Amino acid sequence: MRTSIRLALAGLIICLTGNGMTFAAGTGYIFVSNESDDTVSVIDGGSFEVIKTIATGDRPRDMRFSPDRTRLYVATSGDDHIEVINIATLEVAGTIEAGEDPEIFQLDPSGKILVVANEDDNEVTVTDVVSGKQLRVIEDVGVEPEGITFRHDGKVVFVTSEATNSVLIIDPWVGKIIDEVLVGNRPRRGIVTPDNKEYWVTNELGGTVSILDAQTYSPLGQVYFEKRGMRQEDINPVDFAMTKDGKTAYVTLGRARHVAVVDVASREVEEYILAGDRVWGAALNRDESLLVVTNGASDDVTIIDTDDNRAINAISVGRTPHTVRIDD
Amino acid sequence: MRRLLASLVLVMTAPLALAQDDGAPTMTIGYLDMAEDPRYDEWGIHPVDIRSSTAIVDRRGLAGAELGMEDLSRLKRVAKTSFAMDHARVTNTAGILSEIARMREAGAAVFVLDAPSKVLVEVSAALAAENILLLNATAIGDSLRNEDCQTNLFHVAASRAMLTDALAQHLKERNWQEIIVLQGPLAEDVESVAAFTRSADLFGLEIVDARLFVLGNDPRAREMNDLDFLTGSEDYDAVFVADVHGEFALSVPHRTRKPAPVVGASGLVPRIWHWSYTRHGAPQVHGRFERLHSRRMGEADWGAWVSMKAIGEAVARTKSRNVADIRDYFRSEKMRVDGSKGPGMSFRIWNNQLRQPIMLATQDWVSARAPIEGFKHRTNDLDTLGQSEREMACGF
Repeated sequence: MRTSIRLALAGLIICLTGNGMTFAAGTGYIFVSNESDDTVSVIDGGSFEVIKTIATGDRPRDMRFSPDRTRLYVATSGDDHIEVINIATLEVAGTIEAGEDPEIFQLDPSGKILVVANEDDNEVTVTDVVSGKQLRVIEDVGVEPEGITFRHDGKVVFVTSEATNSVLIIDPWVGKIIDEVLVGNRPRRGIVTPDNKEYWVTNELGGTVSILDAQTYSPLGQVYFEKRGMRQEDINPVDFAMTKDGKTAYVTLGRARHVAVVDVASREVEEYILAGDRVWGAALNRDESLLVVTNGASDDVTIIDTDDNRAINAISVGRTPHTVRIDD
Repeated sequence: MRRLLASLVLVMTAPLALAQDDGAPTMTIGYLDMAEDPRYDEWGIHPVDIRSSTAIVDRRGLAGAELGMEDLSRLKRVAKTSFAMDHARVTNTAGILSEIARMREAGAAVFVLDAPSKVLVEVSAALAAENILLLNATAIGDSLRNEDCQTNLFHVAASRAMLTDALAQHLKERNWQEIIVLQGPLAEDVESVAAFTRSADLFGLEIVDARLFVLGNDPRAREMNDLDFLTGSEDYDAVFVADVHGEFALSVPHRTRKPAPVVGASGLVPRIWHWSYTRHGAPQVHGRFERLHSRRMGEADWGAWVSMKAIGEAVARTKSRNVADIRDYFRSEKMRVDGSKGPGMSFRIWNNQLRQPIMLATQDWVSARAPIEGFKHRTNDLDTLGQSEREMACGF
């Protein structure tokens, strides 16, 4: 079994290096934040070996690249700020303000501001990326705000409120709450389709994905997950990855240990891919040949080949891996 | 500073602060608890209550209800409702009934109760025909879910059977199969042993010895007050202690004749909530509660908090403040409430009991969460805890 994976992997690597496109743009590194270990694991995208473990502040969770990919921002929730990792040196090079207990954040498409959910304070903080200073705080955003997703025009941000079962639509440039929409139970993360028309949000306890019109915020439908042998209460959708053509969404299903492959147009699940326990974070590489997911309860990441939707490797990282980002 | 202000406001003017009028209609939830509730008695001859790691504190669920109201205040935009709480602390069943009557005059129809099982049986029987909703936040008595059940009474607290089933699953999974039972003198200790006996039977444990204990030092009663005698049986894997009073139970761990884990009233205790739980968003709830009340969040707090959340959820989902609509939602397939301990929770339609995970906790750590891996149910694994539809004696 192990040999066959290795062989398959060797073949894959040869094939990838053969066509020369996969890791051409960046370092090829896969970054994984380990929430319980206060570290970020750096995995070489070619050998799938952990080449460095970067010590960070307390409770590292969400991570995002700067638009030029020279920096990786890491929300260190326990230290109440965001740390900046220099990708060239793989060291923490500075911090920026993010309010108390920052969890999920995103940079606007122009890279000027950063919007972060402050879970404990029920607030959203907007920070100037260049100065690292806080611009404004938006209060009264429901209980336990979490997911932060910019619409691609950068004008509004969708904020999930886990304990209020709602999504708030906020103008981060002035700090105004535009609307609030009830979705399924315990909404976690969102994604906006590349055409800017739909906003998808995972409902961890509801076991579904809710879809809103990204312009009018009215509900458009839901994605349901069902598989023989998979318990309904174990289906806990959390994170997304979506292909750039907007045709396919990958949804991690938590305790159900699977990643659902969803056809975006029909909102139907095409396939379920076996991953690890409490599969959580997800990211695609640049040419979308590989999907990497974090398994929160088995302290590893699973590498999935998206050609045949099969796991080809699992790599041990630190305790409670939260988010994965790929620089390739 | 803002936090401090927020908690001050809550302490001083709880109903007013949460019922500010800015367009949304107000729904007032009645909250009733008791001045003399033996479950919250201060205890012993000590200057501090030795069951508490800090000092004597009020452990009533009211603190959790206040957290619930804080959460409901954030639901206003989507529920199109301002929520307010009317709290009354009374001395007996008659007091609860008259306060409920007073609150109904003022328009309230949904009530959360933090009262012992015996009181709740009387209150719910007296109000059985009324078009109101009662939510039981803390009473664990099994009869409330069986012969004393009522269609307008919903149980957010777990039943005693659910708690002992959780323990029995853990004992079975650990392969600690031979159990001795130590039973205290109070009526609730008898009920606790009855519940554990049912659970042991159901999950295939063997009760190899059952002994009555008393709290004391009298050498003439040493078979009942001396752990060498009480735990001197031939062979056992674990000791189950039924002791609602609690002082004797504290002395049992590490004092048994044979090396054996202690479960039940001390050692590993089945609970609906414990402050050490770190998953499923629980740390955020602990944090919000502790900032508001400067103490750990206990089981009664969780029961009251989830009661409020369930009401808010029903109003937000049904877009109605009507009792019948809330009750129908509670009893529907769609019902889900998030108690930050894993799966979404719903009510069993056969006795209005909230299905929920149970924590098995030491004094400072949740060692396991039931249902234990491997215990499967046909439709919902949470239904491996507590009485099934076939077993129960509730007639609605």
